[in-house]
Amino acid sequence: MKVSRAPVWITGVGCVSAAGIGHNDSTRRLLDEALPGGFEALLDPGESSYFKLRLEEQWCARFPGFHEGEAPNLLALLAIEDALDSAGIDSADLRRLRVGICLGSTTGGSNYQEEFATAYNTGKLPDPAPLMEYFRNNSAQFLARELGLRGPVQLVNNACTSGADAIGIGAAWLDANLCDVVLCGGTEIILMKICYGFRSLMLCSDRPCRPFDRNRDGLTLGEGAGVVILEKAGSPRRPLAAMLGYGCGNDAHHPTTPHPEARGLALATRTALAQAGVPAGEVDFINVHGTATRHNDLAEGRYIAANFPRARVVATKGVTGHTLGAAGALEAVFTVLSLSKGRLPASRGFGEVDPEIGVEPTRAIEEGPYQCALSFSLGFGGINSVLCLGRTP
Amino acid sequence: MTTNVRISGLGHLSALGQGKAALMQALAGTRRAQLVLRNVITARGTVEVPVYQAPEVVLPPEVPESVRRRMPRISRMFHATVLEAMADAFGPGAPLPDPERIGLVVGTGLGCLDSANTFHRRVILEGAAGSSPTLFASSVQNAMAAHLSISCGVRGPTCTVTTMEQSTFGAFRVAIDWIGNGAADHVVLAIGDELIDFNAYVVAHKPHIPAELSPRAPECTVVAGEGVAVFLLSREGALNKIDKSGICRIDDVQLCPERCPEVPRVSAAAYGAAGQWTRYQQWIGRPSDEIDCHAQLFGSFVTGSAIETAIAALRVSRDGKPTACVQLPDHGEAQAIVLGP
Repeated sequence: MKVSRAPVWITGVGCVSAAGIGHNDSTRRLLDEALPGGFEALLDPGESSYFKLRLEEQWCARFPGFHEGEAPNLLALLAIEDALDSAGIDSADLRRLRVGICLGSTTGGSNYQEEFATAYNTGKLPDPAPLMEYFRNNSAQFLARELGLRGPVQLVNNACTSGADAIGIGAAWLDANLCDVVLCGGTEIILMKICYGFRSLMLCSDRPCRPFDRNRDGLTLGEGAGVVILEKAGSPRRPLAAMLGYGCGNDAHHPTTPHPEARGLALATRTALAQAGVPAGEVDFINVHGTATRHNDLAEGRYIAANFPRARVVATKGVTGHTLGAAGALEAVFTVLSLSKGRLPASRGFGEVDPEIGVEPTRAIEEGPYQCALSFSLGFGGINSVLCLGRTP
Repeated sequence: MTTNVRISGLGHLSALGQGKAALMQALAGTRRAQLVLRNVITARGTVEVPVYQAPEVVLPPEVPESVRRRMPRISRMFHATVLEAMADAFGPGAPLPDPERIGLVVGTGLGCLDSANTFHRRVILEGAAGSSPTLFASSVQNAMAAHLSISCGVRGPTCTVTTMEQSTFGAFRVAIDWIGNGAADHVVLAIGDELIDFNAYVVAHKPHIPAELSPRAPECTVVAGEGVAVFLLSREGALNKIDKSGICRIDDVQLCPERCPEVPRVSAAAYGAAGQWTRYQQWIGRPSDEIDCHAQLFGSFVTGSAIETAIAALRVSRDGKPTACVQLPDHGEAQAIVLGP
């Protein structure tokens, strides 16, 4: 397999989730203090089965005409502003440079459609205006307009791998010299249909999830956004980490259940490592998808146990919940923070090793240094995506 | 820029019918799509809305029942068109190359919106009892890719691009980058949208409902349509057959070009929005009669640029004249694909 990858730098990261509002807050909570239960303050008491962010007041204060349909877009905007701040890119740079945006989401703008559909389906014969807003407010296009970007614009909709894929596509844009800087990531809010859908599949736990734990009983949904800023190596800004490789593979097995032997994940990992030019034995840690569902953790964990026996394993969904289209990007941000800080977070929710898996994720903050990491994402539709990230001097 | 990617197979489905022959006949003026009238109930009463509707497709018996029952109409439309493109590239009934070396990219504006709405309606009306796991899985935007990968056995990199009008060339870009960086030898690139009740409902609320689509007219002449174009893309040299008889080469896919590519022929992905043709003419910088546009053959829909590109590819294959197909979204930067012999 011929693969190639020009070096790409990650010069900024931004994130908003139940793990923290902004990368500094997230670093403090995940990597400095491991605040026990601190994230639980962000749980919506009325919806304790998922990690809901309460940001509506903030939106309304900043955008007087705020409509809840814009929530995923504004969540991404917060993460982008955080990332631009960490990279030291200002609005003049955004106008001067060719800046692209590639986002992943499963729901971007869909609130408008839900509002219209609720009225339409109950026979109210509504005005189609909310539907037109849905058509116009695709998250990536909304943010390109909001930020005045003049580079490529794309929304990726690969279910739970979307955020990771957006980063892989952004790197390809730099390779093709389509732009100078790419804002890549994912954003997600939890819609009613998502809650009902996951419950219908009997995949949800009623408490914060326990990835890879022997007694895990399902996922916990969450809201969030994660963004990385990609630039070609040699940018005047200081890199936080390097994006070394990206791979994607399809199970072609089942719409909602991963292949038991992680067939697509294996291909995605091989491709990412080949692009990076890194042997499997040099991977220091893996930020796993770790949804805490029986099938995901079994397939993913067994693959890791067989192929990466030396790598440390980190699962962060016990803190953030499963943020679906944002998860791959959010976890890429956490991976960058770990590489640059030389420290791994505790895998909250994990307590007892599952003998069927044989993998023991971090129980507490662990000290590095760490040179190379993988971030795994698995999604509905049998999609698997892997990012290979490395520490920069 | 010249890529190493060729369009080695093509599939098509629209109101013109199924197959690339239907497109060729439409270009030759020997085939026309029939408009269908839909009655739409609005607060103003019942409104007749003309639409371009594709024929229903029949899936081959090889598709297992367990897969078939999960596939909504749009997935069936995609599936039938993918089979045509694969047969065109690899030969009818020929075994596939290594399935891990075949990628899959879906480009769509509205995706599975119809399934999403059906799921939503059942939840509203019946609560948890109405939320079907099968329907939920078919309502996520990458459901078509899921169904295609399972039913066609494609296991390489997979992606669904949903950037409204910008989906078509965004999806092309993903596909050629995968072939370019070695992640795949071939990519099944399936782009399209389905006509759903919401489309007709929107049109029914317009003050004037046009009887026919005229993309060069200054006023709005949108007539809702639907369709799918599938391009089997292959690295040059990946198959001997392709080198000999592939349809055309992809010279470039530009996601935000500052100016129109300088090629002998330019095709505009206009679909009848008000004032749209003037914008195309100004950006392309040519007189109206020197710009191709074919939306009047198949209707207005978000990813109609895919059918326009399929037509451009067939014309390049026939006369060898390099052609650019241009998309100017209502909101966003221009995009273009350049095809060569």
